[in-house]
Amino acid sequence: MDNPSMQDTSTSVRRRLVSAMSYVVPPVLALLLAGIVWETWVRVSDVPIYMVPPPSEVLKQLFWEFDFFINEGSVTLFEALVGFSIGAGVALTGAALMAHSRFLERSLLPLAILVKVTPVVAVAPLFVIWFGFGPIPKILITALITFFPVLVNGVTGFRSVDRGSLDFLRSLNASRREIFLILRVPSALPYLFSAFRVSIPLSVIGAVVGEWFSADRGLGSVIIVAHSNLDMVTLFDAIFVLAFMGVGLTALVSVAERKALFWHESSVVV
Amino acid sequence: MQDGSHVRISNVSKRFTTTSETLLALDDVTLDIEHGEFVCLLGPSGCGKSTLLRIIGGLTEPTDGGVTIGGQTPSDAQAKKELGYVFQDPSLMPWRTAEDNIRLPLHVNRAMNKDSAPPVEELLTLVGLERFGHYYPSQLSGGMQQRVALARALAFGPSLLLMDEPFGALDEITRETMRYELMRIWNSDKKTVVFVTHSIAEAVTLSDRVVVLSGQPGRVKGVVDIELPRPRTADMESNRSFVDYANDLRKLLMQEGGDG
Repeated sequence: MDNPSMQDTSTSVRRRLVSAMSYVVPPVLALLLAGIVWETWVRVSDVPIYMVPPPSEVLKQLFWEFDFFINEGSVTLFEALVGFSIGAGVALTGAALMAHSRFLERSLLPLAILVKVTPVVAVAPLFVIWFGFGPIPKILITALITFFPVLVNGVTGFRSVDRGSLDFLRSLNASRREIFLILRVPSALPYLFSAFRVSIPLSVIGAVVGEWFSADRGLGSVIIVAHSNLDMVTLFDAIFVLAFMGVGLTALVSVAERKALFWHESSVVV
Repeated sequence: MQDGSHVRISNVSKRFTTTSETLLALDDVTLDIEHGEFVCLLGPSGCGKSTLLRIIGGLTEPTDGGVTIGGQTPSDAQAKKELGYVFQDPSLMPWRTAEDNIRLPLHVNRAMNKDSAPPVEELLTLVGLERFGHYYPSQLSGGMQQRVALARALAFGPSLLLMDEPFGALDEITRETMRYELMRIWNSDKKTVVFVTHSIAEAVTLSDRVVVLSGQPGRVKGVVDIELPRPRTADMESNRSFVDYANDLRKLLMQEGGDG
């Protein structure tokens, strides 16, 4: 790893820009190509618009109805993020406790696995009965679906500390709290970021599934309504916005990961 | 009651029990270490010398017997931050710079921080890393990382330094340099040092006294006083008396290999 302060700033900025472009340009080109193939296929074989709409129509409507999709999208995004925060928060607390006690792990982990293997789709209608039609059932479904990856990786992460560092802190009579904050939390970060990469896309799924069952707001309900009207253009727009949301959130996690894990092997670019 | 003796090891035994068998790692080890003395525990791999060091440091409980450090139990010595540990692996935290790693001991068990603790800049200079304070461990060589670990162990002013094969993972050339570096650092304030090694040359160069342990079970095979003048230098290694000491130790080590 180079020491950034030792480099000339302007070359470093330029180099960073070039390296960022080398990540952005290839996937954008591939996406563009896929769009052209799709458009050509729909036009040439005359696929009816209520089956598969051409991407140009989808983008056109997205442009004209931009405010609508932003509004509905932000409802879904809000549910996803709040749900994820609750799910991850509970999971981290649980993981911190379980990492310190095998007894707690043995008693609570099977429960967590039970929750995890129960299909969320099966529980969703129940939540509607219990919590009504507002954002709460969607947030809870999202919390439920994002909880498990964070819990499992958290327990592993908090425990996978360097033996020597642990011995060193013990030889100084460090308290459990000090060991947790100074050693266990940073050691767990690589594991936690792996979990976030899984849980963040799951949070969008959770919010959409929640909206399918009971909603008049959000992209999930847009999909249900468009589906019953055979309005494929709107349906695809909702899908596009959701996909974009997923990409954006995953990119945010990646950026945070690179900042936080500059010291870890996984962030060394080969 | 304590007059002079810093570390007192009395009839220490350690048994490790697995499901199928019990292994006697240490058998009735008794040893006194004076204030300011540099003692090496020398023995083959698996003779329990690291276990003995861990018992002194309070990281492992003995099955029988006990250890006192300045009249206190090892855990009391831990609580007062009197023990500076250096392991074979530097065990630095990769997310902290060299400086921040050295400062780390001051961030735990703060109530026991001493006013006499040396400033970080002084420690970096002492271990020859004054220009590398803001480097991360991954940017430093193995020898440099071990220097940081040594500075970290000195950072809170412990009276006893416990070193578990600290140069064992280094290449031969770095190892030799580090030996004399350690001597120079030790000469500056003469802490009590217990140093575990399986290198005869290392033991002779560093020690006031070498305790030879036999393998399985670990027993004190013999104790050799090294009366070479200090400061010790690399030229000494070809001296007659240095070679004699090395041969004595080798003989002691071999002897137990036969009846092992």
